[in-house]
Amino acid sequence: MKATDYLFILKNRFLKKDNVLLILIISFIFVAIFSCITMINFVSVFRSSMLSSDMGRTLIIDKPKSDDDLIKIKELKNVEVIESNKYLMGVEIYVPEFNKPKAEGMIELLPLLKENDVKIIKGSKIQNAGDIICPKNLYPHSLYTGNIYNYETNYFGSYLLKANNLIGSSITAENENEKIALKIVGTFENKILNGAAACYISKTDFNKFKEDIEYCSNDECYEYSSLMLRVDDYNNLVVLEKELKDLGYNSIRNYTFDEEILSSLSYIPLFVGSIVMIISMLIIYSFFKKKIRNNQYQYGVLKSVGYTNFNIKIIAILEGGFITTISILWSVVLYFISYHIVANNYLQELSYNNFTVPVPYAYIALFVFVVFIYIFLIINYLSSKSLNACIQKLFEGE
Amino acid sequence: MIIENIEKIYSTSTEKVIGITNFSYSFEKGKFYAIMGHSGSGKSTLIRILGLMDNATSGKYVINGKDVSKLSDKELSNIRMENIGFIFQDYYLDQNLKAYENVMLPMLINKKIDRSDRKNKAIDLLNNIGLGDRVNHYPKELSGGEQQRVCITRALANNPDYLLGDEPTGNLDEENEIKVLETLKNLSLNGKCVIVVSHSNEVKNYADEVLFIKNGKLVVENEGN
Ligand SMILES: Nc1ncnc2c1ncn2[C@@H]1O[C@H](COP(=O)(O)OP(=O)(O)O)[C@@H](O)[C@H]1O
Ligand SMILES: [Mg+2]
Repeated sequence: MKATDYLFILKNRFLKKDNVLLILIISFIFVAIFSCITMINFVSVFRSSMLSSDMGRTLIIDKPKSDDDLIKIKELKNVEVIESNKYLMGVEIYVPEFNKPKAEGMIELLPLLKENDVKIIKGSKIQNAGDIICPKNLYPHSLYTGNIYNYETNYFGSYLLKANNLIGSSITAENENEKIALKIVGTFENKILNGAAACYISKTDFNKFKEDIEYCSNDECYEYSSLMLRVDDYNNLVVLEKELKDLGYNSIRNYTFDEEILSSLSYIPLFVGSIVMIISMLIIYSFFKKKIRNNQYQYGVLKSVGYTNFNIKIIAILEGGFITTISILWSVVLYFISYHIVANNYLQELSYNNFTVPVPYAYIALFVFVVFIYIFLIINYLSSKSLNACIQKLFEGE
Repeated sequence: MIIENIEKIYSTSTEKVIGITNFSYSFEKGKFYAIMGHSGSGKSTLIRILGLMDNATSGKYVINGKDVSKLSDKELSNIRMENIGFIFQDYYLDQNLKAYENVMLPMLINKKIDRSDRKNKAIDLLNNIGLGDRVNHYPKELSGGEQQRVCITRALANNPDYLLGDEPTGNLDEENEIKVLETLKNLSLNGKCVIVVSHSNEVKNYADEVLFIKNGKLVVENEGN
């Protein structure tokens, strides 16, 4: 039999009411499963991105007790940056040239502590005083007013500036301390967990915007005294912590994770996903069971006119395969629609920080593959069973 | 079709049930056979075995000179396709296909019928049986008698020598029953072997031979009218 002959038999069945209903049910279930997979994947990617970012690899220790200690600390392996704690956080400045609706001209200045902290993609690196480099997708806006997240800012993507086009232009940087002209000399690839408003200047320039005073109380002011240490790889964090401890210093991680919250963040979707998966497997099984039972007479007739068991199985598998394929295509479409709705409306803060919730293509593909195998197996099993039963059915009349 | 000492025993989990036993007979082309007997006597069992839809527990069955006992599923399917047509009490037409498409179903696996001839051939066959104006109808748009004639046409699609019917008139009123029996009679006169299980006495008026079965055994055979 040729493919067209199989199609001849199946053509009017594909879009029967019960198939359409099943396609709708399966595709909603699959969207739920895809979403669970996305969340599980997100938690692990989020954790490792946080850790591998500049901030995630940074430890903070108290002021060294002696110069001797400082030398020992500097000699520790795997440390790529040792600086005053002053350079841990950037400063927010106002750039009037960037002031537009929805992007009100706030950028964050960070000191470039190590040349290869950024990867220049256009223009040059920082060479002279007054040079500034910015991420290629620059959003000159603070998502926060004070400490409060600014929910009004809902048009993130469309207000990005293409910093590549700004190379060579001058901007004015203003904060309460200074008002300085800066020149954009280059752009770099946006860094995960750096805000999209974060540009780099040299340490010397940075000092013009940020004072050495950390805080004042009772008319007495204190300079920054603790140190920040950045390790080259977050897998070495624990080792460094231990070495510091041996030297008599307790270190604080710049990012600490509540591992319990994180793991529950991935256990909940894992749990929900597994339950949805089991239920969906059962629904799919019982539906195909019913379907193949309804088709028994037809299979019996085909057998009686000379179709082999193999021919009939192919017919059953093609019908199931069609339902599955359409369901999967449809659920992928639904998934991407909902993904974009969620990403554009609820994940602004993440994307401002250059973190996109990744679509776990590989896991989804694996799941789809497993579904196809599963459906193939159940149809194969159910149709074998029905091929034995269908003959009796045909001659039951009386 | 020649069967010799055919026995069929159904083994259920609790007991063994005799379907038919010690059954020998020779069915010839060009004749109309009626098979009668009480419910449970083994009529359907006999039809299933004759139609190669089930195999006998023991005995010998030769069709067109071929012993079927050692054939594979593929070879049996091929004999069914070429030599045997089934007619069912409940027609079992594919509701999603038009009348002519139902008739085409058996042709899809017949390499001897050209792909491009199938449709015309199906329509011709429906014309012959008096359904020329119903070819494009779906089964649910046809009366019971019409559906049964589509079912017969489907059985004839690959021009088999043998036509087997299990109560083919069981669901029909008298008028339609007679129409169907006349059709079958004509087919036997044109050289086909027609074997029909029936409860109704009407069939005796058409049959060349009537076989009575009781408890799986052939008890009487007599000439029809
Ligand atoms: N698949 C089966 N399993 C067990 N017993 C069966 C099966 N099919 C038929 N029988 C038994 O075989 C006997 C003959 O059945 P059947 O050929 O259907 O008779 P009829 O068609 O004359 O009513 C009955 O006793 C019936 O219960
Ligand atoms: Mg019966």
